[in-house]
Amino acid sequence: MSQTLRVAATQLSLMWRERRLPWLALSVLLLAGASVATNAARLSSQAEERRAVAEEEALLWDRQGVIDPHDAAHVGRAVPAPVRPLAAFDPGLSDFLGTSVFIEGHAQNPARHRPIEGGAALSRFGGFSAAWTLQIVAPLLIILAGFATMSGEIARARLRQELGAGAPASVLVGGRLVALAAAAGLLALVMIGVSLPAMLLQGVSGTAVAGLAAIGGAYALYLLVFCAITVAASGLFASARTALVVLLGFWAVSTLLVPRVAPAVAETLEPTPSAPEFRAAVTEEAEKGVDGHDPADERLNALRDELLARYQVSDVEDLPVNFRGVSLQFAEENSTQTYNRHFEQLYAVYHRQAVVQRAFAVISPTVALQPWSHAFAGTDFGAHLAYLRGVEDYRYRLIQTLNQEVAANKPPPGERYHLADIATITRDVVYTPRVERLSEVAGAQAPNLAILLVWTVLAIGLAAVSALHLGRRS
Amino acid sequence: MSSFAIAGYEVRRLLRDRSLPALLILLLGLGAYAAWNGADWVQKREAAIGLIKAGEQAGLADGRRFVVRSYPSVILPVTQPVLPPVAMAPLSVGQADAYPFTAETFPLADSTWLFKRVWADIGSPTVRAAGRFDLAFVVVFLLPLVILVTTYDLWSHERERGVAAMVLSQPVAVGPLIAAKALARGLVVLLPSTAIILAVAGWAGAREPIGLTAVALAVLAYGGFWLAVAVIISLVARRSTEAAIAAGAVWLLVVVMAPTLSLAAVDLAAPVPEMRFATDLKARTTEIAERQRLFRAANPTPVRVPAPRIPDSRRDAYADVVALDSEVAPMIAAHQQARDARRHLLDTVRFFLPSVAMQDALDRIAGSDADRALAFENQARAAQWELRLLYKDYLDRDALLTLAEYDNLPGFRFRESGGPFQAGVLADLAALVVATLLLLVAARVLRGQAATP
Repeated sequence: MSQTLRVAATQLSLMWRERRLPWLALSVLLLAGASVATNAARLSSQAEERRAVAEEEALLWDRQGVIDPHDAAHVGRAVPAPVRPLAAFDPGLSDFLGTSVFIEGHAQNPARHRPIEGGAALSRFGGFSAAWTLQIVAPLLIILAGFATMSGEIARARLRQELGAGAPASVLVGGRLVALAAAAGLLALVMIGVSLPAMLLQGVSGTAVAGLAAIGGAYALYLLVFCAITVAASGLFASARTALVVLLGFWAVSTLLVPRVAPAVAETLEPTPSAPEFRAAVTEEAEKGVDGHDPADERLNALRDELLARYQVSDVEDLPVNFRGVSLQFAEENSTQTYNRHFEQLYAVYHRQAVVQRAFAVISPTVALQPWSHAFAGTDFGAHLAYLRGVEDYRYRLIQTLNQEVAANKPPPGERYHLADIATITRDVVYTPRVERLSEVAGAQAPNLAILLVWTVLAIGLAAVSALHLGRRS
Repeated sequence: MSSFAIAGYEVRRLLRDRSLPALLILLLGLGAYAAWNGADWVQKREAAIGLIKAGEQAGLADGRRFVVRSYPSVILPVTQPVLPPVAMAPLSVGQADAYPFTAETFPLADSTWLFKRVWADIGSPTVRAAGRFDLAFVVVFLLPLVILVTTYDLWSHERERGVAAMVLSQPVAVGPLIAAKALARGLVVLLPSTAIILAVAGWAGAREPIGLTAVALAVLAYGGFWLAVAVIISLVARRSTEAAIAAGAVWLLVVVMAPTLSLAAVDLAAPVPEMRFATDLKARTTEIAERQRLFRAANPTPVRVPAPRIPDSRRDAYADVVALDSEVAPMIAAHQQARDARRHLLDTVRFFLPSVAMQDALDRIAGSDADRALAFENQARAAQWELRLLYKDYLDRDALLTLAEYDNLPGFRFRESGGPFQAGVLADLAALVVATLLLLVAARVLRGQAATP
């Protein structure tokens, strides 16, 4: 063990002497730090803005005064999405998810105001963050730092001397791997460490710290995979050029190409409908029923007949309830069930796409790391879905409360509608944000962690094979 | 030793290299898949437009029933203008998902209504965040790799083998020597690559000759830039390993790092407008509408005798909408100005980044650029305004729409303002040419280094 550590120390001092690499790492670190700081500032102003929007929306809602409650359902209100503190480190899908949902009667709207809207050609090149640096640039730095640790004429000559002096190949390979992993780990630690103050500024919770720890662990495994593969390739190929070409090829394919191809293949195999297609399907089903043979009008007529029979009257005007309100309640329940069914189908397609993408993790550890990092940062679709479901739950309760008010009160004589103070009747309907528990996130992301562990074992195994190879040649 | 002889040798050497056909086959495979993706996207967009048009026709049929019954109002239907894909659309999805491709125009709707009910793309955010795998991605991201992989050791190979000294001892100038080698490699790599890209684009349905010509020119200009990069690297790098690292680093810088950092800088300088505007606008329109309601309640329009065919309540509603629009206009204009300033900055930055200029050129040729989407927004707004004027004309004349007039209402048709060689594309091509020329000037300055061992 001490021999391995001595080799590692020597290797670290050699890497330190190669001045370009520490400088490169420092530049990357500065850029990532700047990204975390600017992201944190942006998040802070977003949080402030969303708080102000929520307050203004509440004020506008309450100021509607005494009106027909169903009019209030059409006025609607916007519910802003929460800001995730760890988005400063990994913004994940934040730019592609809407930042608020407009809720109203009769319809479920998707989230709107996506930051990617209104861009230009440059917008297709987005995504820079500390997480992106660790996913894409850090592996490249590892390759540049490690490809010539045992390949190339000079390194091979030194290796022969070390082997000749009686050092076991496993110790020499292990020492170099420890050195590379220590340097990479330090880089990751510093990069994640700079995220902490940025998060603390936003009043970080214990869950967020635990999330950051989970993210840190996964990145450690990920970088270890690249360290082990780099050392292995350096040992297996005598020529530094061959080792570099092979490693750069692996880097380009696994960090850049596959993460781009995998979603495209997933979309091809599991296509999502277009918005007009989705809306047309919802409208048709709401009107004609799930099987197309159960029109909503007939279901409403049956409900009316049942009420007339129950209260033994022949006209809806003679019912003790306001039939307008009853039909609004029925229509809301009908449309909500239809929307829920279709949205769940859409989310099921998203899930199947994620499964297809995960299959590509066989050739790219980045594909397994990215969803893990997004999920624990709260910037994946799972976190967004928890928000959407919370909003929908609130929307349904709010609209049905308004409809219940209509149903329970018949219009005064000579008036068309019953009027009520909207603030008073909806005072008890409160929006409660839904937040994914860390255990739920961990459960959903377990396959990605398993894949990263398999990659780690295989990569270390490859380094061991490389040591065996060197041992035999000596 | 003539330049032709050098070029001939270089071509023969490259043709013997087994990696070249493998790279070209890889480019063909990825290009074909990307082009197929583009064609699939166009098909889906056309299907979506078909559904929108079917909905619009159903609305027209509904409205027709009211006209037949001489309903006492001006029955102008809700129309849904659409932005159709152009012939070269399979090339790049570009910004097509980031802007609305349809709108809803209704004469009595206020100016905020136009895109209010339009849903954004509902594709998986995970898939969208990864970026579209279209032909533009293959050209912008992968083509430079193909060029660099085959040209990074343009001169370092000779240096390593000690051939460089022997060649330079011949009566040959170093500048023309390197130029001939680069041009020869360009001939063998860039021309087949361009042909592959044009072939897969055509196969996917992008067959407009002028569009394909524009694509060919853009690919050659972009390829020329990367050949110039290879020349600079060959002059500076002593060993092939160094040259490979330098080529990878330049690719990472130009294609990945510089654009993404520039975007981060733009986000900082001109942040994306958030949701606040929508809520503020809603508050303002609510306030104006409430004021108008109170005014109408206190000052009811006098009843006319004989009563007009179209009730005066319609005229009141029209007047209120026009007044509301003029009151919120400054607020909308200020928001629009902030959006325009951000987009202008994004557009300007592209001139300094060859990869973004190339992406922009392909987006414009494919009709998926932001400017075309904005032109659609403006034309839809103009259509809404025309519809409103038509409505006013009927109110002023107190005339109901006849069936013949209803059936012959003007429909919306998007008017293209540019083609594949629009000013934006020419500006992108100019930016690529200037970048290449600057590199060649740098190469001329550095040419002395080629002679150092």
